[in-house]
Amino acid sequence: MWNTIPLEAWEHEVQGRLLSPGSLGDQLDHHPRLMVFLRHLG
Amino acid sequence: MSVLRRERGLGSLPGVLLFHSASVEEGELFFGKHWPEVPAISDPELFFFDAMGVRRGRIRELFGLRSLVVGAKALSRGVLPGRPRGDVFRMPGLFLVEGRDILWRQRFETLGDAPDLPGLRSFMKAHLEEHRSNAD
Repeated sequence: MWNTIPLEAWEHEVQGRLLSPGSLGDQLDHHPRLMVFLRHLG
Repeated sequence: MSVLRRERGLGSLPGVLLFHSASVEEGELFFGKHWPEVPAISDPELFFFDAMGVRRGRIRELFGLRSLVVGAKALSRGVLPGRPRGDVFRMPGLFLVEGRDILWRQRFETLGDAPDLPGLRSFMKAHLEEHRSNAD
């Protein structure tokens, strides 16, 4: 089943290493990506 | 994370985007050492965790037998839990996305669940075949 990621999620500005603040959608368009949510660092 | 890093290194996984609830500085320090080639998003307000439905675990999910066994195994290997940061009761999350579409997700039942890489590979294979047949 396919779901749609909430639009506001992709327009939310974030800080992150190797990514400039801005739309995450730019990073994800056209290529499959594995999004990994980590509970903690370690 | 080490399993994913190894599999990504073998080329069997698509590009990885990590989300964590620590600060940018803590993320820089950690991922700079452990997985420098992968982008990681600092999300201390858990915006993306919430947006993607990565919720807080229930007691059984957090402290069930499987979680305890995995924790004990990690301790026996000398892996100590780090200093708690962010919401330590959040479950992990694993999604395959393309553009704005979630193609696949793993539903973690306990903290002890390993990433379902066989399930992911199986889905990716079927997805690619579907794309090929649609293109014909």
